[in-house]
Amino acid sequence: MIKRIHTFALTILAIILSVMFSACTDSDNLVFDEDNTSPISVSAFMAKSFDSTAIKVKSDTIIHGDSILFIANIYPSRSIRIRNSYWLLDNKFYASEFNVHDAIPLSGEHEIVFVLITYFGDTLTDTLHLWISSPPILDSKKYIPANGSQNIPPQEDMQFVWSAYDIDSICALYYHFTLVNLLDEENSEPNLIDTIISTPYFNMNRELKPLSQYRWTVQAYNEYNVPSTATISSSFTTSGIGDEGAIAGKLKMSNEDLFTDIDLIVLDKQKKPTNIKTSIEKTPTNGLFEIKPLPPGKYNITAQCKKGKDFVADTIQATVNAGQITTIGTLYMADKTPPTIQSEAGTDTLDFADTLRFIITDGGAKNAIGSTTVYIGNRKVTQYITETQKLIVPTIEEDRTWVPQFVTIITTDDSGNTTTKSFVLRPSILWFDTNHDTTISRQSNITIFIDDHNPYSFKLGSVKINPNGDVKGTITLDAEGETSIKYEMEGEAFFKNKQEVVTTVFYTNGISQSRSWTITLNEPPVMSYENNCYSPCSGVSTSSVLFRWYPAEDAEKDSILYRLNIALASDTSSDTTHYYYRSKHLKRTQLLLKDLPEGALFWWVEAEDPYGGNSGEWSHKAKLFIMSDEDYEKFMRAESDSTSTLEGQ
Amino acid sequence: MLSAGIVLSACFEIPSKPNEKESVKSISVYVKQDGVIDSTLLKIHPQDPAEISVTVHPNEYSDELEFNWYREEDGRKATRLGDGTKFHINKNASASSLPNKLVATDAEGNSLVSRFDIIINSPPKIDSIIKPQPSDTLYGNENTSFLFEWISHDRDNEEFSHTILLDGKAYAVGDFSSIRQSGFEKGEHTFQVIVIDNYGDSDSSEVIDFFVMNKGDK
Repeated sequence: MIKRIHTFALTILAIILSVMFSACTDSDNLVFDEDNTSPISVSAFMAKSFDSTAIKVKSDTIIHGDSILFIANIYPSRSIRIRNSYWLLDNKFYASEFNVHDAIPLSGEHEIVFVLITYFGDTLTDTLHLWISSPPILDSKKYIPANGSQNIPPQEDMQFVWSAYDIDSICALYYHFTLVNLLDEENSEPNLIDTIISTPYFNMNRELKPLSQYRWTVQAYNEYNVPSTATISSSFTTSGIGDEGAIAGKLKMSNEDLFTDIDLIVLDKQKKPTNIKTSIEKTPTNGLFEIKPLPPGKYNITAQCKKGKDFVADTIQATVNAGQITTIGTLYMADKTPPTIQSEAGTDTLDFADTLRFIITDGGAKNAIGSTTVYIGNRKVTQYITETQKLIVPTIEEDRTWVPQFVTIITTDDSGNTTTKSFVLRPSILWFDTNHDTTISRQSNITIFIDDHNPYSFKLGSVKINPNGDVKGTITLDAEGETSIKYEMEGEAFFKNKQEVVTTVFYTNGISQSRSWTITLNEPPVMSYENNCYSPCSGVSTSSVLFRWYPAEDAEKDSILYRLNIALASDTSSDTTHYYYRSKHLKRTQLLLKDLPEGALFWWVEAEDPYGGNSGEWSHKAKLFIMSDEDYEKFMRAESDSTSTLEGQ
Repeated sequence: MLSAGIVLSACFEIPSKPNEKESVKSISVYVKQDGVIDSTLLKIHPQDPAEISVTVHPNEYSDELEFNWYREEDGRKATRLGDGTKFHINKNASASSLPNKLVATDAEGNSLVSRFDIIINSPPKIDSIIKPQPSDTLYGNENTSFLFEWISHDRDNEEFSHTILLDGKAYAVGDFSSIRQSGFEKGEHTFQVIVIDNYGDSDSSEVIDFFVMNKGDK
């Protein structure tokens, strides 16, 4: 029985162990699956900083003393189990961190290796190459030819000498040498010489231009292409033929577009222009100029601008030596003249209108309207129209008021000169009517009227009429108790052919309103016997006559109408003048009349313009003697015989 | 007692055998000319006689050695030119007449060989300063470029270069024989040329004094 129990217990134990064993074992996981493995690899890089945007490289050259970052990347991750990792610098232990930021003190070529020993003992490496070099030292003060050397013969070989050394004494040096004509350089022309040489001197056997400025530059590089911090940039000038000299300089002005319109003027000791350079065409972008050739002596140099009269140049004195170019530095052309602002009417007081018109002028060549600000009252006008020198400012409903207000215009030219000018804008709401712009003949009169219709029952006190320069001056009229005033003026009373007349009403409560209008005086046409009689101006004629006259002279070139007058007596001044004939108003300058009475007659023509201006009678009239056809024939025959006898004698 | 004897015996230096000598470690040569010794470049000039001498290390065995001087050319059998510790070089001797191999032999027939090359180099020479001449007056201003010109040559036709000194400031000007320089203030100035060849032999011109004056000072 005990044995049976024992056997049963063993069986149960075996089953339990079997179950436990099978439960703890996943047979699939024990099988090696190549797809589930992750290969381990390392890569190393260098970067100048920790910045994520820093460029990572495998090899680099840095300047002695600069620090650099060595970065080790491990795949699939830095957290895998490893035995060891470290950096080697030139085969010696360097560091054990994954990232090392350090400045390697030794110049030269270095090999940096990242070493990783995996958990299974495999060694993985990646190698970096680093060159550390100090920049070469170039003496930027000691060289041949010295800066500013002159009288260099342009046709001979030229020697350039400088000195440099490698502070580490491990590198050979080479030099980047360039030579350029100074004006060509400023115009981005290619260098005359652009070469790399291994010696600290250079012999140039290239012919140069006489009396020209050149610049040469040198920068030293070592074998690792590290450049010297210093560079040599030096200029020299070539000599001219004989004693020829030159003046060089730079023109500076705020508006460089005008460079091509500049005249450079060189005045000798007697202040006579000896050399005028019409433009700086060689250097349109920077104003460099050379004036040559000039004989040795003392000169004054100035400039003038053809397009921008506001630009005024300094005058610089210079002495020209034989074979040398005298550099005068910078010749400034300054524009200190601000723009001018005026109304199109020429007055500072303006009538309210839909558009206000102004003229802005500036001698700085560019249109100064471009930077203009306009205020009507306190309102800044944001929309206005600019044309060449014209500023057109539209008014809006908000600008309408019965009180005067200011129109302020601020404009700045290209040189920064600002002009601010204010105009008085008359009220837009007027309580009276007066004349509008009108044209009359100077021979006629004009009635100036004021009709008050103010809605507030203000009482008129007086009225002023200011014809602005009229012979009568300001006319003041008493208007107390009146609502309508009239005043008549002769056209002859106005000096100018066109002028502004200001009409102002003064109310008894102190309020006044003004309005301006323009009167244009039209000059009458002019005719005279001496200037306008064409034919027949004297002599005898048959009863059929074609009267012809020259057109009248009219200052305004108006359309003229003519009236032919024929009288039987020369005196036409009295009312009893007997006009034989007065024509209608004619556009043409001739008229045929038949059956004229025999005997003497006098004729003249009056011209009349559309404004009623009349040339009046001729002071001397044309006189004709009319004959019958028979008598006229006899008269002509007798005249002919008389002429023949005279010729026969 | 035994152990004390062992320790004591260990403290004694065992002497050399009576007939055994220390060996000669090396031999080297040097040249001597005009009283000047040169053991590195072995450089002489042809204008004066010179001699080549041997130095033995350690020196006390020098007398027990026999020295023979040879001229050895590529592919040819060495020619014996002389013996003894010195080899005399005549004035204007050619390089091909000089030894380039020394063999030192002891009584037992052991030998040491030293190979060397004697350099015969003539120093370069400044022939003349063409411009400016001593005490010349040059007219111009600080910007005027003045010409400095000289003539030099190397008797061996080897490469050489110049350094000029303008007011004591040195400029290495390579193989140039003239330059133009400006920047001279009114007054007295100095100019000197030094020429040097690849072997470091050099020649210097006299120091030229010149004067710069403005044209108006004429």
